[in-house]
Amino acid sequence: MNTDQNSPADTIRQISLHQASLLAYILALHPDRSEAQDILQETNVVLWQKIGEFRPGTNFRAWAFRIAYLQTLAHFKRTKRSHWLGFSTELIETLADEAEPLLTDLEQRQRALRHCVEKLPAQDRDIVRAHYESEQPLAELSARLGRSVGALKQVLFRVRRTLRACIEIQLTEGAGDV
Amino acid sequence: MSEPDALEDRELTELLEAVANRDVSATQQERLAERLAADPDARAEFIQATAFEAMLAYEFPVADARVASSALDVSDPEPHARKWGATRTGWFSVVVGVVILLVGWVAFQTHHGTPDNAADVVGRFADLSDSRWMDPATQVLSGDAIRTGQRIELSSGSVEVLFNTGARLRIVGPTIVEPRTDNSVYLTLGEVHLVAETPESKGFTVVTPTSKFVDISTAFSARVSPDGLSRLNVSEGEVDVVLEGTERSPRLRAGETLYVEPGEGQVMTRIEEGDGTADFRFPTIQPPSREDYADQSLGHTTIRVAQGRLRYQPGQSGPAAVLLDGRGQSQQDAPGESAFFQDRAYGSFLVDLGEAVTVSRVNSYSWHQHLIDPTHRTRAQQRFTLYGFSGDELPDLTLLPDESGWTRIARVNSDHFFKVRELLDRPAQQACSITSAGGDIGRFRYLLWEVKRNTFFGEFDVFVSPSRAARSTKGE
Repeated sequence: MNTDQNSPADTIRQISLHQASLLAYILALHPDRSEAQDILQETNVVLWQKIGEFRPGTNFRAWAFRIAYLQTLAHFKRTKRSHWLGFSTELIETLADEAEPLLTDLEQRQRALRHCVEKLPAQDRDIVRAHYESEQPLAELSARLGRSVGALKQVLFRVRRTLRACIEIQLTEGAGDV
Repeated sequence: MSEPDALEDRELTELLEAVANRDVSATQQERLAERLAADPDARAEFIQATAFEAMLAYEFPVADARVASSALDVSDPEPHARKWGATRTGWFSVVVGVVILLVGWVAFQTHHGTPDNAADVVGRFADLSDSRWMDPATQVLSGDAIRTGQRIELSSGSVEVLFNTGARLRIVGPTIVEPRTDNSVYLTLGEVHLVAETPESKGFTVVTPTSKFVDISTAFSARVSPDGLSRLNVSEGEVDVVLEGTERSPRLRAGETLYVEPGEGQVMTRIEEGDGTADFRFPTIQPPSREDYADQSLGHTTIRVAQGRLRYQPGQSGPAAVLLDGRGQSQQDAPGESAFFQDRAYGSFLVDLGEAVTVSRVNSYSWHQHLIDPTHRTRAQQRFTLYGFSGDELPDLTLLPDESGWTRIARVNSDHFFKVRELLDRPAQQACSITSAGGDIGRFRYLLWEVKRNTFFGEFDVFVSPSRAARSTKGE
């Protein structure tokens, strides 16, 4: 299964390096975090199984994205469900083509995000953590946190906006151009 | 992954927010699919928003055993993101280990290459704060002497050195600096802050690879980047900037900052905050001019987009020609009077001066602040690299300028300049002026602004040496 050029260590390293990008790519095709995680796991299995087909020296990321795309379509077929947002196959294919060149610096952005999250006020950080870690619907989360759904939406909107701005600033700081 | 801005598409923003919250109505689903099918910009924004969601999902993995069953190691009970981090950490540790060994070896060589007791004591370490040294064997205590020629190689933290003259030099790691006399240091790399309040310390000099910064009174900071770019920031008093081979010494006053590029051109960059009015008044940089060589009224110069495309919706950019019309924008958020690129799809502006002329100064102006949200000034930041080319036959613009014959003139990043950490740190109105200590930047026919932000530029002014300008106004 694995050739000399693709040792298990190399394969693990390659797959590990692209986890964030792969998840982002899958989410672009199917923006359901829970199912996207499933598709990512399935993609990882296929990458591991098919690593012998990967030609060293070619673009591993592009190859992995292609497999992620096929696994996303396979997921819809297997679960016998259509896209939860009603996207057509043509639109998913277009997004697949356009996502790849846009998802190039996620490693850097992930590092910047980590730093930005640390700078959030504790209350905001707790809400974001609760939202992403629990994956509860907003109505349930709002009851748990004792806030209205509207208030929760406002906090999440504000925090996302703040974090995105912070990431840009972090990247500028670290760019080293000047 | 740009932040929402004055031109944001509110409908799309709401749709994307609904997707992120997993709270999408049937009507919203239908509308989102329609928007994405019809609009490439909407798709780009959608992809960026989902990528951001992916990062948050990675940062806060679901507390659920299902996610833990990674295909990479099904026996590992750790959450997936932690496993990913651990793998990365393992490799990272190897790299860090190698780097530490290399740095240690270099430090060892440097340390042992310096003769002991080579010179007199010029000062003493006065304060050490979380200081770590490039050579782990280095041990420094407050009160230890410092001699001329002794390299101070600080890895992190900061130390303060009290010179015998009374000058106080704070060194911020990572920095390599070396006292040359009892009132001067050579800064190879890094950052120092000087306070020279005593009469004896007047004239304290920080020498960098590109320049000498000579204190006239009180306080300044100097920084040298790994690529040789020097930065001077005067916090109090005045400082003379002395550049090799020229008798001109620009004097900076409190609040002013200057960059000096490495190389023979002695190119200096000054960036300033404007008064936030349509008059575009700056402390020392002149407002947008109708009298520069490149002004469209003189007919010498043309401008076009060389790479990328200007934003066309929503909030359409003006044409590139607005950059040569002799004025900035009339208000803080005027897309039609600005020239700016699509979000995250930056590009370049090409100015053709008609023939090779001796360029002495290049100014650029930007202005942006959301009409409702005063913190939102994203498009005011100027971040670009300016190149020049003297020949008549234009290089292939699809190649990298650094690899196709262009001369790099200056690099500008106004967020670094203003030390932007919070949104309000970024001035809404900015001017950048690029000059040379020698008087002329160089002889060029073409100028290329390789722009790395979707800046609302309002004007580019190009000034040429007085003799050339005089000839041009006589109709040459």
